[in-house]
Amino acid sequence: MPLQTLLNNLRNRNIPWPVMSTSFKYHGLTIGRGWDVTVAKLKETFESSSPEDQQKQLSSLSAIYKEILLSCEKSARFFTVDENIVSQFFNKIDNLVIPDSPFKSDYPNLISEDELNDIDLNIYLTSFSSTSNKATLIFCSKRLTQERIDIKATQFEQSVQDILNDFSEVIGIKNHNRQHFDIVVIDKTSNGIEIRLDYGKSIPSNDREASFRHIQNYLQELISEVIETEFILSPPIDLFPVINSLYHSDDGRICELAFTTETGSIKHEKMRRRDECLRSEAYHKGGSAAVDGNLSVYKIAATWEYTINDKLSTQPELLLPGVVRMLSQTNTSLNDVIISNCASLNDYSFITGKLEGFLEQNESNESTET
Amino acid sequence: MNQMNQQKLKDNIYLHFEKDWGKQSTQFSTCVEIFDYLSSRPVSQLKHLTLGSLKNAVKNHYSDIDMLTAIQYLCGDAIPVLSLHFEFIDDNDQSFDLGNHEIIEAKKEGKLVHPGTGEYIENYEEKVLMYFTPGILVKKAHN
Amino acid sequence: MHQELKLSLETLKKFSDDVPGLGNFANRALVSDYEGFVSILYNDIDLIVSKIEQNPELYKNDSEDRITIDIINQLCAMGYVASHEKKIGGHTDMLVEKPPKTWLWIGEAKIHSSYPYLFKGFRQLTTRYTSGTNDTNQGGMLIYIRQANTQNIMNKWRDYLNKINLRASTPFNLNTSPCNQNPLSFYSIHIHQRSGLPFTTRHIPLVLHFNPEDNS
Repeated sequence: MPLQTLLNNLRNRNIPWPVMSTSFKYHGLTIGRGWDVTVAKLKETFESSSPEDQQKQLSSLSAIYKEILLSCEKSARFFTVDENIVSQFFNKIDNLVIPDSPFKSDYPNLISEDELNDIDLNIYLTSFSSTSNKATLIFCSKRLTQERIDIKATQFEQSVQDILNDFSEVIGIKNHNRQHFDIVVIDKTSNGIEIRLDYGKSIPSNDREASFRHIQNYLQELISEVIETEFILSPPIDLFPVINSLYHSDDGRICELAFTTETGSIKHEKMRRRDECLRSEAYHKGGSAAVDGNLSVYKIAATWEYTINDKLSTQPELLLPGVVRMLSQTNTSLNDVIISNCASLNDYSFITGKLEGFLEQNESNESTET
Repeated sequence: MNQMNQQKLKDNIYLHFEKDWGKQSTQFSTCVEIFDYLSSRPVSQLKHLTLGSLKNAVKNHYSDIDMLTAIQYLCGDAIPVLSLHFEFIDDNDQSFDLGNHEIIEAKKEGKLVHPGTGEYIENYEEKVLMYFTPGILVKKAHN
Repeated sequence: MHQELKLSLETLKKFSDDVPGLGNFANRALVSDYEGFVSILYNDIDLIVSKIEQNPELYKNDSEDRITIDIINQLCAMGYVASHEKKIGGHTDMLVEKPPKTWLWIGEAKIHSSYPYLFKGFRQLTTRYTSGTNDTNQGGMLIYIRQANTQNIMNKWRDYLNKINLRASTPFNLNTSPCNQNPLSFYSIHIHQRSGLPFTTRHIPLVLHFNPEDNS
C-alpha cells in the first residue's frame, strides 16, 4: 500500500493522537507535533531512505494500521457458545468463503468514496485469519455518520453573512458514509465469541444496538453455513454486575461515574485530572460517606496504565455505559462495553482480561453465596 | 512550619500587598481575600481553580477587572500566591492540560495542535483557558 | 442570561486596556530563558512608557526618581520583582529579578540634560551595576526627555556613543542597531569590561516634552 494511502487511512480513523504517536514511536517512526508535521516528517524520511528501509517503514505502518483496525475504538459484546459448536466451526473452517465485494478486493485499504456511496448497507465478510484456537473474522459495512461542523459566515456571500452575523455560533450537521471494520473473534479456549463494533464510542446507543444485531444476525447465518446446522447466538453476557465490582475494587483509575443515591438524586461525575481516581476524590468521598457509601452505580469508566516498554505506555479505557433505568428493571442487561485508547491488541487484551477477571470474580462470589 | 512562623509569613504577605497597592485600595482587599481563602482550604482540594471559582470564593465582591488585576499580580514572581496553568476544552467538553511548550509552539505557529486528535485547531486563543492552583507561598503557609 | 466570563487567551486581549499588562500575562508565565524574560520585560516597559507619554503634563515637575518609581510600581503590579535603589555595586535605579533564577535586568534612568551626563549613566550601568555574565548581559538606559524632538536627541546620543567608542584608549567594541519595536529606541552592544562578554543595552526614551501652543 503506498505511503500516502496508509497515512490517510490512519488519519481518517480519528485515532486519539496520544495513541497514534505512541504507536509510531514504538515502531521507531519519526513523529512531530500533530498530524500535519508528522506526515511531513514521515514523507521526508521515506523519500530519503533506501528501498529496503522504505519497505520497512511501509511494513511498520501496515502493521500499525492492521492492529488499529482490530483493536482501536471498539464497542464489544461477548457470548458464550456451546463447545461442540465451536469445535465444529474449527473443524469445518474451510467451508468459510469470503464473498467477492469491493471491500474484499481493497482490504485492508478503504474503498473509494464513490464505491462506498454506491454499495448497499449489508455486512460483508472481508477477511479472516485463524490459528488452532482462534478465528478472527473481519466484516466491512457502510454506515451513516454525522459530523458537527462550525460554519463560518465568511464562507458565504454578503447577504447570507448579514443573517449569520446575528448568531454567535452556527453549527451544521453533515451526514456522510463511513466504512466500518467490525471484528468477530471465535475463541476455542474460552468457547466464546466476541463482537467488536467499529467506532463504538461515537455511535449513539440505539444505533449501536441496531448495528450489533445486524452483525449478530449475519454471524448466525455465517456460522450456520459453515457448520451446516442452524446456529443461534445466546444472549450476550450481561456486563452490568462488573460495574459494582469495578467500583468497589481498587483496580484502575475511575474517570467517570454515574450513580443514584438513596436520598433521591442522580449524579454524574467526571475526573478531569488524568492522574487521579474519583474513588479518592474529596468531593466524591465526602458525598459517599454522607450516605454511608450506599451508591447505586450504573455507569463507570476506568483507565489503566499499560506499559509497553520502559519509555512508552498507553492509558486504555474501559467504559461500561449503563443507563439509570437498569437499576430499576428486573430483566436488565448491559450488553456491551466501550474500549478505547488502545494502540494494539496487547492493550486491548489487557482490558478484556480485566473484564474477564471481574466476571469470574462475580461468578465465584455467586457460587459461594449459593 | 509552626503556627508562629505561619502567621509571620502571612503578615509579610499582607505587608507586600499594602506596599504594592496601598491599604485603602480595592486591589489590597481583593488580594487579601483571595489569599485568605486559599490559606483556609486544604491544599489537596485546590487542584483546579477557575476565575469563576475564585470569584465565588471572594463572594463576588469584586468586578472582573479587579479580579484579573489581582490574579495577574498574584501569579507573578514577587508574591506567588497562585500558579497559572493552561487547558484546552474541546467541543465535546473534554479537557486537556496543556504544557507551556504547547502554548509556546502554538503562539509561534499561530495554531494549536488538538491534544486529542492531533489536528490543528482554529481560533485556539478562544479555546485555551487558564486555571490556577495554590502558589509556593500558599503551600509554605500551610506547611 | 448572564454568561460566566471564561478566562481564555482571547479574554486577556479583551481586558488588556482595563488591566495594564494583562495582554502579556500568559507570555510572562511562559518565559523559559533569559532572552525571553528580557523580551517580555521590554514589552511591558514599552506599555508603561507609552501610558506615561500620554500625559506628559503630569510629570513635568517630577524628579528622575519619581518617574522611575512610577515605572517600578507599575511593573510590580504586573507581578515583577522590581525595585528602586536596591544595592548592587551601588544603588540601582531599576532592578528586575526573576527568582528563583539568577536572571537580572538593570536599568539606569536619566533626565536628559547633556550627552556626557547620559554617558555617566551608561558607565554606571555597564561598569558599576552589571557583571555582564550570561544571565545579566542585558540592561537598559531610560532617558527622560523634556526637550522637543526626541528622535533628534536619540540620534545624537547614538552618535555620541559611537564617537566615544572610537576615541576610547581601551576600545569597548560598541555597535548600535535599530530597535524593531520602537523607532525612537535603539540597541548598543559592547564588550563588557568585567566579563569580557557582549553586553546589550536598550536605550529607551520617554517623550515628556510638553509645550502646547494653544494658549487659550
